[in-house]
Amino acid sequence: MHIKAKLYPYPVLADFNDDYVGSKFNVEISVQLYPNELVVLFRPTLANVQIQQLINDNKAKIMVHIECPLTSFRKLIDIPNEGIEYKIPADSIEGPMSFCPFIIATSEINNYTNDDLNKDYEGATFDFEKGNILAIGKEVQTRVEKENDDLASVPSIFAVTEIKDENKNEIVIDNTGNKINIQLPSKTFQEFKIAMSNPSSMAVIHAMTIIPALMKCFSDMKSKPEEFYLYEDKRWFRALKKALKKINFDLNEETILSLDSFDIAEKLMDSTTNRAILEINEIAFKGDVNDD
Amino acid sequence: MTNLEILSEDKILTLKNNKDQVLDCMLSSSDNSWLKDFFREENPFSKSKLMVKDFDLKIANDENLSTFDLDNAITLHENLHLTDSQACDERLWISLCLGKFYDYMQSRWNVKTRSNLSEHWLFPHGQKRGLYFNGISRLYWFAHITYDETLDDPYEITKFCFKDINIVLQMIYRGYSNSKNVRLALLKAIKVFVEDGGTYNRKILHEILKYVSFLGGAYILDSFTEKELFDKCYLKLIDLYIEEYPDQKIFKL
Repeated sequence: MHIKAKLYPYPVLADFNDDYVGSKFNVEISVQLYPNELVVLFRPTLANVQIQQLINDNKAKIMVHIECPLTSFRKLIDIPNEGIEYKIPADSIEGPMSFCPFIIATSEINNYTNDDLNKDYEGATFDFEKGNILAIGKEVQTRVEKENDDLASVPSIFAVTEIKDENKNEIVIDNTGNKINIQLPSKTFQEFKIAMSNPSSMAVIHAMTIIPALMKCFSDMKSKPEEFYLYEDKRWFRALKKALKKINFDLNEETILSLDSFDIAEKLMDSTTNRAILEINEIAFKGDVNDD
Repeated sequence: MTNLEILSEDKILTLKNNKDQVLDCMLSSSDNSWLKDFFREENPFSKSKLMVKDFDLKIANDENLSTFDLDNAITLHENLHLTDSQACDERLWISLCLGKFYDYMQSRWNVKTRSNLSEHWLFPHGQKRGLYFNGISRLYWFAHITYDETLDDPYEITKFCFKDINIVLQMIYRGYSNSKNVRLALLKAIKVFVEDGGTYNRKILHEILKYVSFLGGAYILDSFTEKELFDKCYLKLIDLYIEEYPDQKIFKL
């Protein structure tokens, strides 16, 4: 569920309309993910005497609609005036989540009027049925990303895979999925696997695969800054953003334009190209460390 | 109980990137031993954290490939004790298709119909929609979202829905289907309506699904009890029936 600024056949207290004057409703929502649970703190604020009275009379309730569309987790929870801490098991949620605060009629309310209603409603009264919305707060969206994978170990954001088609001899970098996928022609892939088993060739491999892959990602983001938001759904993007924060670079649709792709890629990979050049001589002249 | 074996994300990516080669391998092999050559590994699967009992799925011998869909859905749901988060993971389902249930999949979704590889072995339509297309996950999820532990037979609604899976297939695209209360109320209303002598066609089904969406625009659906929602849906079904079949003199309800 997402809150939409739509019209209702009765007045609704919300930020996106002027049905009420001088009244406020919101629920402050803070979310903290722990290994086994998501802990959410709800703190409601309501500035409207008559709606508060309806809550006190058990004719209305402050509620938050929680939804995780991917796992089909969906709950509507009561929020007492003083707020509440609510825990959701980590294994029942994954990916995007939304929290939508409402005040909902819990029984019929007849001949409703309110001193803070907009003058347009002067003299009018309204009847509410159970389930009708009296007030809407600000939706909070978050994303659940677990440190611990539910099935296996934590995956890398890069995937190096083999192109089985023997007629294809070019390397492909595909960043449209959750991982940055470096696709290597079959023979190259087999050589790559052998090279990967040699720790002394790591910098060379990274300089030849990871650095160009990162540069391609930065280049794609730069070329269409208006579509920058689309990357936020990708796991590799969120991991990259986190890694860049550690080197004091805030990746967003504005900073991407002035980003030096090679410089940032090198910083992320701890100057791997420089180390690769130093190591390549070692490999070339001293041979494979695995050769006895 | 053994650890369920799964393919890594990178291996699944390799399969998806090389569908033509995968199809060639599958068509020229009677079992999944081609995976060893494909990945040049003696065992391309690795042990997951998930423990499962040993169980099998029934394979239809006749031409009606869906004969055992209901039985298999219940078997999967009873035997796979998954968290919701695990049940959404495509690695699990693709691995079951290519591993433990390879024979079942070859029979139910044979890749001689080439589109079956993408449609029913892999996840072509994104994570959520893919769950209802993959040959194994669709069975589990059909049972999972229709399971009602409050009934004497918790799979009573599952059994009804497997008579016409269009009901569930059309419902899952609507946001309210995430709510157990809402979807069970709706499915039970359709079931009781049919048991009481009502019939539904494509139009009535579409309209009742739309009606619940409409209700969700005016009310917070989750604030209703299942019974309240059931009553609303049931009455709407009668209205739709009378509207669709105005000449029906006797209604058996």
